[in-house]
This record gives sequence, C-alpha cells and structure tokens, in this order.
Amino acid sequence: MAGERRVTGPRRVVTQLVLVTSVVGLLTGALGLGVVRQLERSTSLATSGDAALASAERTASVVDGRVGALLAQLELFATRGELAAFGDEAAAELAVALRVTDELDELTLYDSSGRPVAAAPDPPPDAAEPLAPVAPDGPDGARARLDVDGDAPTLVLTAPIESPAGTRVGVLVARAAIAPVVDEVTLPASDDGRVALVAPDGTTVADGDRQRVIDGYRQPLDALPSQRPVARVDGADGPALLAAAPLTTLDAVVVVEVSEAAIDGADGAALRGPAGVLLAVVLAIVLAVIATGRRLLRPLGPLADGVRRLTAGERGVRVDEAGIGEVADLARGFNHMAAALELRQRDLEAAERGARLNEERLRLVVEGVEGYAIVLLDVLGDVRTWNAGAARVTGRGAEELVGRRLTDLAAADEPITDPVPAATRAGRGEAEGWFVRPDGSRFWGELTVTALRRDDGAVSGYAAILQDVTERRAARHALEEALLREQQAAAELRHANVLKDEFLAVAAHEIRTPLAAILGSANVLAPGPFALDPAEAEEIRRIIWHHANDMHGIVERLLDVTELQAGRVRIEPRAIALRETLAQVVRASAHDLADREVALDVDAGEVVVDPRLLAHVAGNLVANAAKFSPPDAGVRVTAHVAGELLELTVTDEGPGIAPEDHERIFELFRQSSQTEPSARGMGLGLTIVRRYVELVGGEVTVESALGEGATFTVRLPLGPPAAQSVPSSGGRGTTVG
Amino acid sequence: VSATTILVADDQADLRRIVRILLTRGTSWEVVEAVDGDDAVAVAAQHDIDAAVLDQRMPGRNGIDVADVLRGRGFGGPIVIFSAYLEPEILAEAERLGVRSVPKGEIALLTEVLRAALFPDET
Repeated sequence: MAGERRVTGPRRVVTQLVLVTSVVGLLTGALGLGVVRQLERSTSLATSGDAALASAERTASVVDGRVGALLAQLELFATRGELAAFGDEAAAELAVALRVTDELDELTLYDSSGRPVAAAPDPPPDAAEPLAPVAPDGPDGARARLDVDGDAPTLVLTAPIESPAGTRVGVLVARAAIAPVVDEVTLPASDDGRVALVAPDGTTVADGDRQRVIDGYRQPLDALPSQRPVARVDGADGPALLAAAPLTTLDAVVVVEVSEAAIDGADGAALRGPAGVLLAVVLAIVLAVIATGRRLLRPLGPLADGVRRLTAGERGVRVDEAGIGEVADLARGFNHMAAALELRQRDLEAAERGARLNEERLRLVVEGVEGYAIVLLDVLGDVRTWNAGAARVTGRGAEELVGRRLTDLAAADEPITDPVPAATRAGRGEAEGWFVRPDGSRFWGELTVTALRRDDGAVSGYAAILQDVTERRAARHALEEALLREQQAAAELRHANVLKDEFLAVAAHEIRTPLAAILGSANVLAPGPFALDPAEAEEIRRIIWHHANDMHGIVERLLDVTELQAGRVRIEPRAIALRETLAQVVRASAHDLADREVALDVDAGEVVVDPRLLAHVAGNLVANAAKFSPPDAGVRVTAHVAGELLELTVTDEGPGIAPEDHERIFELFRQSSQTEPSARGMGLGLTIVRRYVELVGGEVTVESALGEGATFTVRLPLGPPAAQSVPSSGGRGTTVG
Repeated sequence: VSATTILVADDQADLRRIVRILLTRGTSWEVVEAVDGDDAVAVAAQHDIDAAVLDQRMPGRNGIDVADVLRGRGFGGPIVIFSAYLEPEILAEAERLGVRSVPKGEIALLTEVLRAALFPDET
C-alpha cells in the first residue's frame, strides 16, 4: 500500500497541477476581462469626453459668432448721428433700427448721466431704469452680458455713443431673448447629448429642454477642471460626462452633457468582442494544460511503476522511452540510472563477497595461528578476543582473559610495563618479559600492541601480538655468549700473541747469557799455544756446567709454560710417599740452590697426587726461594695434610715482596718491581706454579713484606680428582691446539 | 814501561772470568773489571787503561754510553763492544766514536783485535 501511495503521488501532483493551472487561468482570464473592460470603458469615456469637449467648443464658437454679429450690428447703430443728438430723431432712429433687425427685442438710449432718453419699441423712457452715469472714456466697443434676473434670461448688449469719436456721450443698450440666439445651436446638438448655455454661476440659461431653464437648473461647473474642462458628474439624469467651453463674447459657458448610459449603450457591442476572444483563449489554455498534463501523466505512470519495482529490488527494470521532450529524457535517464545502479550493486555485491571472504580467511588465519597470540583489545586495552595461538602461548582460555589485561600474565616478581599507553601515544608499543602459564611454567614473551584508529583518528581499540620467544631469546643469548667468548678468545689470542713475542724476547735474552758463557768457554778451550792450568780448566768446566744447567732449566720451564698454555698437561694422581718425593725435588734443585741449606719438614705419609705436578710446583718454588736469597741463607720447606688438602710451604730469607706485587709476581714474565736487575729471570717460575695448582683446583698464596723474606703456601686437593677439564681452569690458557 | 791495562765491563761474572782468561793467557796484559756501565766509568777513571772491552747490554750505562764518556775524557785507545747485533743508530754512533764491535760468540777474536789495535807494528 505504501508503494501504491507513492505511485499515486506524481499523478495527483499532475492532476493538481492541471486543476491549479485551470483555476489560475480562469481567474487570470476573469481578471483580464475586467481589466480590459475597464480599460475599454476608460477609453470610451475619454473618447466621449473629447467628443463632448469638441462639441462644446464648436457650439461656443457658433454662439460667439452670433453674439459678435449682434454686437457689430449694435455698434453700427450707435454710430448714427441722430442718436448722439438725444432728440426725437433719436427715438425714430431706434425704431428704424429695431425694424432693421429682428434679433433685438428692445433698444434704449441713455445720455451721459444715465437717464434714458429714448427707447424702442416705444415704451416711455421713464419705464427704463436709469443707468450709472457714463464715463466719457469708458471701454471701447460694444459689450454683451447675460441678465438672468427676470423670468427669462435675456442677452443685454451695450454700445457707447461717441460724439465726437473717442468721447462717450451716452450708451445704447439692446435686449434680446436668449432662445433665438442659442436654440439653433443647442437643438442639433441633442445627438451628442444636451447642449446648454450656462451662466458663470452654473444657472442654465438656454437648453434644448426649456424646463431646466425654467427650473433654474445649475450645471455642476465646479466639478470641471480648469485645464481640460471635462468630468464625470452627477447630472440631472444620473451620471454624465460634462464638457464646457467658455464664450469669448459673453461671460457664459457652453456646456455639453452626455449621460454615461448613452455612452455604454453605444459601446456595449464593441466591448463584447475582445472579452469573448479572451475567454476563448483562457479556455484554450486550460484545455491545453489538461491535455499536456495527461500527456505528461501517461508516461509518468510506467516511470513511477519502474521506480517502485526498482525500489523493491527488481533487476532489469526498464521503461519505454517513447514520449515527449523531457519525459523521454527522464525515461532515458531512468533507464541509465537503473543500469548504473545494477552495475554498482553488482560491484558492491562482489566487493562484499570478497570482503566477507577475506574476513573469513583472516579469521581462519588468526584463529589458526598457534605460534602467536593475536588478540584484540578494546579501547581501554582490555582483552576482547582470543585466538588459538593465544590459548597455546599462554595456556589459558578466552574465558580467563577476556576483560583482563595481557600484562596480568606477567610473572609476579617481574612485572611488565603495559605497552598500551605507548601504543596510544606513538601508535605502537612493545614490551617483553617473563609470562607465567597456569602450570607455573614461564615463557619469555614479546608483546607488541598496535593502536587501531577510526577515520577520525580516535583510538577504537588495539591489536596485540604476544609471541613466545623463549627459545629465540635463549638462542640469542647463546649467540651473544658465543660471540663474547669469541671476542674473549680473540682478545686472549691477541694477548697470547703479545706474550709469545715477549716470551721469545725473554727466552732469547735469557738463553743468550748462558749461551755466551758457554761459547766463550768453548773459545778458551780451543787448542792453542797457551795451555790452561788445571785450576783454570776446572773453572771453565764449572762455567759450562752451570750455564748449561741454566739453559736446561729455562728450556724446561718454557716447555712447561707451553704445555700449560696449550692445555696438554695430563694430570695422573697416584699414591706417593710425600717425604721421599720432596727430598728428590730438593736434590734436583741443587744447581739452583748452590750451596744453600734446605730444611725439609714433612708431616705426612702417602698422599694421592700427581707426582710430576708436585715436583714442578715444589721445584719452582725452591728455585725461586734460592734465586732471591742471599748465598748463605737457608730455605725452609714444609708439607702436611690438612683435611682434604695437601699444604706445602716454601720460605726464604730474601728481600721480601711488597704487598702491591703479591699478585703481579704470579703473572707470566713478571717479577717483583724490587727484583735486582742482576737477579732477574724470565718470570716463569711462579706462573708455572700457579697454573699447575689451579689445574687441579688448588691455590697458591704468598705472605711477605719487604725485608722479611717470603712464604709461599700451596694447597692441593688430595684424593682421586674428578675428571679433568684441563683447559678451562687454566684461565689464561688457550683452548686451541 | 807499565803493563798494558785493559778494562773489561760485563754484568755477568762468568763472562768477565772467561774474557780475563782469554786476554791474559800468553800476554803481559792486566785486566781491570767493572760489573756494569757506571762501574766501568769509575774504574776507567781510577786506572790508566789502554783499551776497553764493554758489554753493550748492562744495567745503567750501556756499552756505547760508556764509550761516549771515555771518548769525552779524551781516551783515544781502542774500544771493543761485545754485541751480537748493533742497531743501525748505535752502529753509526759506534763508528763516530771509533768503536769496534765483536760478537760474543766470536770472543776468541778479542785478543787479536786488541793486539792489532794496540800494537799495529807487531804483525
């Protein structure tokens, strides 16, 4: 029904349009008719007024002519000499004059004093009333005036009597009835209306209708404008058109009066023509409007129907494009629009299908992702959605987390900074740290939060990705550690290289001295003319022995250091008799000890230790003590078992070691800063001691002060040592080779 | 005519001993010893030496430094420096000072070198 109502809309509009147009046309027609009639009437009135005015002026000129003729006649009479004599002859003359003219009714002669002197026809002059005395230089010529005082209005003409000419001695006055003068004029004018002679005060003096004269009817002259004396007035017989023309010879006006009824009656037939045409035109317009409306309406119906079908979602709606002008354009436009709409709709549907497909794919992808927790957060940063990855990574279901914050999953002892504020500020926020699963296991999570914004830029929520990177982090750390180790190894290699150069320099220097002595000795022993005496020969032999021993010790220690550095030293503990082993070491150190006494104090029986290690450690310490002791000073060696440790001390009576050198003396190629230049060696002995001791997890310390000798204490673990990890405990030892 | 006196400076006692044996065997020369460079300068001042045998590497003054001091004092006798190898600038300095060098390994040459320098007429 709604559709129907919508369809009837345009039709009703067109119908209403036709109706309104018709009514407006009719009203316009009627109004036009009225206006036209009014215009016509005004025109006819104007025309009638002109005609009346012309008629009045024409009549006035005729009347003026008549009056003028009478005045001329009177002036002619006045020149008669007999009159100027004012005698009897004057009366006779008047009688003659009266007979000559039949238009004048009465002649009276007055002398200069205004006394009537003579009259014709023959009444006693006394009957006439005296005039005012005549001024000798009154106005020239004859004049006429109306006398309306009596029963019938009369025309009074006066002419001066001059004797001699130019000097007025009397006045000749003539009287005439108005009617004969005017009738001729007024009567023929009856077709165009009434013609009347009117006194200045409006009194009708002469008229075709004598009754008005008798009644003393006053024409409404006051209503006439002075410029064009024509006006509509309320005449004696109803509304009338009045026109007036003044006379020049007489103080009076000719009036023409035409009744409006007469005017309308005469113009009625003429007016019906234009009005009828107008009416016909209006009717034609109305009919044309109706016809056009119907022509418009007819094709609009299918168009409206098409709109309704299109609105209802129907496809392929097309309307007939036949029709006129804009309606056909409209139909074509409708068809184009319908086609465009269908195209657009198809595109939209395709896009929508694509979007749905993408959305579904994305949903499946997000849901299927297990490696990452992909989570949507609401505008407050609380969890809204939960995918399979989220469940797998965190070990928690959606019901646990929706409405909470992801950072709630962080390990309690290591809270994670919520990245949501950073995401709000910068669009993206990141955080990482330990997350805890319900089973208590931890994972190192990388949390990335990206702000989702509406078109207007406001944050509508966040997308969060949480990834378990524990392994990656471990791998990274391992890599970093490996790198660090590499760097350390490289640094060690560089250091080792420096040491090697130093080692070679030291070795060369150290070996050169005994070598030079041996070479010199060999030179001395060369055959020649001069034989050595036995004492000299023994001396040379001793020098060779001594320096060869030095070289041997140097080579031994260099080999020791090299083996320690290369990690090739094998530790093979076995049970040994401690006292015998140490006594053997002291005996082997005879060369280093020279003639010094060694006090050996051993408080232990059999111990399990690597004998070679023990020999190296004790031998080096004894050699070191002897080297830095005065020739007559003794060296004291003690050994005892303390718990799991074998404690060995070597004490000398040398110059002692400053505290700041206690560590330095164990470094490779380093010696106490107080060491006499002549006593300097390679700085290998104590280094070798420490390396050996540390190889089995023991330690070596020194107690000494300047001037008080020194005591070196070595503590070695006893019993079968654990599996040896030789290189790592060396500290400085390189693992390569 | 006093005996020919030779200064031997070396920080190694055994080497001094060997050099002494070499220089005094079959000659009438006398040897005065110094244990380092400074000692050499002092000993040279105390004795009327005819020649000097100096180890280049010694604590304190080295051989060239001692030679420089001796030449500065107007000592014109032969000076021999023990050294396996002399750096170029030390070699140049040695030439300037008229110092000869003998490698330690060729220590047997020492007597001949000194004899040739001290007594050029006795060939």
